[in-house]
Amino acid sequence: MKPRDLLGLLLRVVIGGVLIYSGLSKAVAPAAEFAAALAAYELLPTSIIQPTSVAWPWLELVIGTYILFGYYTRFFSGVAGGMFLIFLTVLITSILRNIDPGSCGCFGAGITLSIRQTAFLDAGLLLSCIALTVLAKRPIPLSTDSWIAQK
Amino acid sequence: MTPGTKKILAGVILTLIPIAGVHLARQTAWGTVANTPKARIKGDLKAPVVMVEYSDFQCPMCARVQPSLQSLLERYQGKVRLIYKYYPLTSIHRNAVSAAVSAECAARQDKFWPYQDRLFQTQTQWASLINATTVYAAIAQEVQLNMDAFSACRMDPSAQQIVMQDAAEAKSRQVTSTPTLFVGEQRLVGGMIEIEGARMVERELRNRS
Repeated sequence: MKPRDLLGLLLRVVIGGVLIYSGLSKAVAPAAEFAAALAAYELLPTSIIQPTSVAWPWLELVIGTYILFGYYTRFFSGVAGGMFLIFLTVLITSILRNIDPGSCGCFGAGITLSIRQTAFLDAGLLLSCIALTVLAKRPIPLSTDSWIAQK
Repeated sequence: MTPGTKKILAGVILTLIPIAGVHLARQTAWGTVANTPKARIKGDLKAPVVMVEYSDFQCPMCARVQPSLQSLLERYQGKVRLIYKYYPLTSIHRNAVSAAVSAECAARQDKFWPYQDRLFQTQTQWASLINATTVYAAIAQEVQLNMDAFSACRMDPSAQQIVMQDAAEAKSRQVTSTPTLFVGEQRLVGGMIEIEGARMVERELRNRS
């Protein structure tokens, strides 16, 4: 396997793995837990908090699965990059507004990260998504994309 | 198989995998709310709407939501009652158990509510202490507890057992953070109690009418 392919595979596992873990830990927990984490950022209107707390974990989970299995990798790594950009914006504005929600709420009750640790993690994942979007111009081996491209 | 068919097939399978995963991993059986002594129930005992609060005396958010809970009880007087359940988060709050045991000892003298109010109000004074016994005793005196009975109770393992029973009940109901408030079967966590508490009570009242 070429280094480019290996890197693409590694990025898929990392980005997909993080999104799946993050989505699953929130989706199996009561939605009220994530709603509380969202409310702590004091950013979203209250009417949007409840539906977002239900829909967002599923979005993470499905997109994470697509990326892990290399399905429309380029498109979904772009979408995931957009999601990490949203997280990062929320975290940075919270730091600037001096709002500390305690735990970021990113991984449900699974892992507790501070707001700054999460900002670094999200920045790294955002860069990884950009790299994967570039690498996935051609199908990456061991992916659904390469299986679909096979004649 | 054409590429189009492969795309659709892959899309369907890869969408079903996470749905099945969540379905398998999600907790479906819930623990029940055990009977709670009257001393830890506030409001009309026959009120149709029951609010159950799982709370930790050392948790800042638990202290913050107290005025909201009080205002719900006042606004819906005769319609709601509040049950307090101990849920000390022992891994992050070193004095949470000892505070809960002290509150339980106050409950045994029917002074749970004034004692819990003072615990929350003085939280920043005792939360970081290595040993907060003197603060607990000072609050006990302030709310006029029988000090001999209070001291004896704090040494009694049954008080801690009650606290741990409540904590086990919380875990069986998939409560992972505090404060968690159940309004009927509806769950609210943290700051959402302040935001959505009244709406949940209204909904529960509508369901019961």
